[in-house]
Amino acid sequence: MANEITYTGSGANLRAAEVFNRLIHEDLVDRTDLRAVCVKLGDLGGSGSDTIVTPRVAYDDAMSAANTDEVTAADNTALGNAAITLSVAQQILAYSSSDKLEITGGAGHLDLELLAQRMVDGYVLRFTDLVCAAFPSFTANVTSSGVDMDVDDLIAAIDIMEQAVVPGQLACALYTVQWTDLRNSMRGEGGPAQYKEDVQGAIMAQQPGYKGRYYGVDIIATDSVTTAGGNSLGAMWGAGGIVYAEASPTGRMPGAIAAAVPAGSPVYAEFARTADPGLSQVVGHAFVAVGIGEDARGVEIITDR
Amino acid sequence: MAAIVGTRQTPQDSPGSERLPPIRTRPRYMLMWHPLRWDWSTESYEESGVGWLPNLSPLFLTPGCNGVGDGNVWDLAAVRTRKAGWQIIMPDDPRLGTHKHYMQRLPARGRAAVWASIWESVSVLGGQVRWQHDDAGYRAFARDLVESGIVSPMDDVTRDAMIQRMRERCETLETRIATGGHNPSAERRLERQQAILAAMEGASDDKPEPKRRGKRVEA
Repeated sequence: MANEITYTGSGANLRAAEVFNRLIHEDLVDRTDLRAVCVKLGDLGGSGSDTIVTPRVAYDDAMSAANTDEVTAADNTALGNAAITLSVAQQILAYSSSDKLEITGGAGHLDLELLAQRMVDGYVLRFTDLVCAAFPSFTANVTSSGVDMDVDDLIAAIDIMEQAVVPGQLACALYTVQWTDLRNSMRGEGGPAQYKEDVQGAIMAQQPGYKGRYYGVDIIATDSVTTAGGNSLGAMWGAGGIVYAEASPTGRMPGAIAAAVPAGSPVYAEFARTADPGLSQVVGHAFVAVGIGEDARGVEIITDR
Repeated sequence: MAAIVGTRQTPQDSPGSERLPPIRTRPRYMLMWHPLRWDWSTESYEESGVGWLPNLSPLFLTPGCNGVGDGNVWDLAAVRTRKAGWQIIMPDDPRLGTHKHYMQRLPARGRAAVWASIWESVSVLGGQVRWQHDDAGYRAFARDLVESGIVSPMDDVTRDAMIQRMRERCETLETRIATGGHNPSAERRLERQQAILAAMEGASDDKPEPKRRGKRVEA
């Protein structure tokens, strides 16, 4: 037998060296979005200012007994008040590609249009980073420096929130390792907690981001949680603990070729061209501010990284 | 005739210098401290006889976060932070001594800036970025903040409240172990926390008696 047509012998002429798959594999990225557990104070798009000031009032004045002589007037009570000030700052993300790459690209290949659509991911990542960077400004804290997070830390944080009469659903953002340490601690739980279905469910493998509601707290794990002193700086907070403001564009920027400006979205993207040497660029923008709404509504959770 | 002075090449400028691969940004920060925030460190008690150390927090200079504006303008953030009772540890405070300028910018490929404290170090092994933290150096810094007078000493009310909180944690664990049967995990935690509580209480007992002020005599 001879002259068989084989892949090895004739592949260089008869077959492609390799097939470039149109399926694009996405590398791991943590797309945890914390906007749902933060309070939006307003949108500054078209408002005339980059700063929003939200009044804070403390209606913490109980009535007291009137003067017994029935004729002396009661003095006024000073109403506790303050303000939350947020000034939006510009966030930006740009990608650039050459004409050669664009012109030779086929359908389904990575191109600027696809990158423009992913600008919202860049905004979500940035927003989550900003929220996590705000955690260390909470005065209250549960600190187990250099020690893995355990159920006691979680309960201590819940205690602080309840003692401070924080209303609403509690949320807790932890570093991914803090979460797995906490879960390992849950596995050894005794007492009434071991019979709770949510605690039992914690041992199951979870998707990134939202992990479930344990001990009545929505727990979210994210790699955006910051570090200092060799520890992770997570936090637990109630409604109004973390607030934010955005500025959505009301129209196309002058001279820009709009790529994507969804109505009401704080994110917009546009294309730019540099004729010499032939570069196309997509630039995504967003304007946002994040901050502590009320210090007493949150607690920082500091445990080993 | 004025001499033209050049800048000597640093190890970071050399062509073969190691750089971090592109990673997520790590923003610059300044450390801050609140009078209610203290942390117990058993290690530091062994080293220096001081168990309570200021529990420091980073104030991240990230535009859009906590009042930091475009271009890292942090005036509003500083006002807000100080109004809330925090004290910012300025990196150029001469009292910091060898800890002065406690942040470092690490050389990295990619657009993102990578900042770390001087107690953090990073290496790349097998393509993996690995961070290490000099715990002893950081504790020495925290201790020096008190000794240099940058941070006020811990007040008795705060110390007693933190001891009480640790005592409650121990009592809660004791109850759980007593009523929930054999629980090795909880027993280990109790053992550790009881040791910390004993050290905290011991440090309080060792504390020198405060100087009595002379009784004021009414004229």
